Amino acid sequence: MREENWLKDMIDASLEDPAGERRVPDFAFLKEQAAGVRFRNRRTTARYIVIPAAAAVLAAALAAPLGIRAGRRSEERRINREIQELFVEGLIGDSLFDEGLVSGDEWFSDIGPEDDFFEI
Amino acid sequence: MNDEDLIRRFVSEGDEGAFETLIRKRLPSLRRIVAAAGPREAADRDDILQEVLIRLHRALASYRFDAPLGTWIFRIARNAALDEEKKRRRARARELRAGTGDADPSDRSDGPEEMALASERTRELKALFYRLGESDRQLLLLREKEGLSMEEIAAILGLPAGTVKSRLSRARRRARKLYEEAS
Repeated sequence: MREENWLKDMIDASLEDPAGERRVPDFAFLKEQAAGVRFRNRRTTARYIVIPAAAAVLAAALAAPLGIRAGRRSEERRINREIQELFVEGLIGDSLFDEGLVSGDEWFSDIGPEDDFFEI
Repeated sequence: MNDEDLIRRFVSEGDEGAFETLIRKRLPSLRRIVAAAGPREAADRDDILQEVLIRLHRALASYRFDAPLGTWIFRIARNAALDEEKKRRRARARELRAGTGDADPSDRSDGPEEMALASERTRELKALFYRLGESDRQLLLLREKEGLSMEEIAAILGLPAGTVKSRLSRARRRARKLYEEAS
């Protein structure tokens, strides 16, 4: 058999669809289906917005503990500063820490455990 | 009414009938291109053909008349059919892994309808043809059945014309070898 013949037989046997002529594609709903695909694609496109947004939220969540810690330290510094100002103004220097607990640059927070403080 | 008028009517006036007319005369070729992309059962081929038509429906507004319409349609059809076939194979592989699949996607036989209609000889030839790679199948189809030129095939497959010629020659050799082995 010549090459073209067996090759065409092979292609026909594989790709021709004897019942295909009876099955007509659904042209009636093609417009709606195409619109549906467009809608689906728009939703897919939104992924490119959602993913960076999710990454930003995640980053913020991870950064929050650092911010809280920084805030606490800031609060400690503020309290220390206020206490220092009280000393400067002489309001508590003599009454509470007049037994040599505070001298020079040392503050009550440097004293140590709370128990020690109250024993004194 | 020629193709250009039909496209303009569909794109500018939303005439769905114009789209149907454009596609209907190319349906047999589109069916073959879809089949060569991989699906062997009629039901799968019909589903994929519907997806191909949806893509063409969406894409036709972007046709710029700088390439022959037939080549442009076949290129979109082949790419869409390949995409769909890959999606289906992945889905089947997932089902198989999950234990809900019924067959190895690479070894699917014909469906009941095909079994009833096809002769033993036809089934043998079909089995041989599907042992070729997708690219070989498309090359042989476009050249031997659709009768397209090397340049047209190159435009559809996105290859240089020289590459098409050499690949076509190799595809013929592979097909001949399979045929002779089976004979």
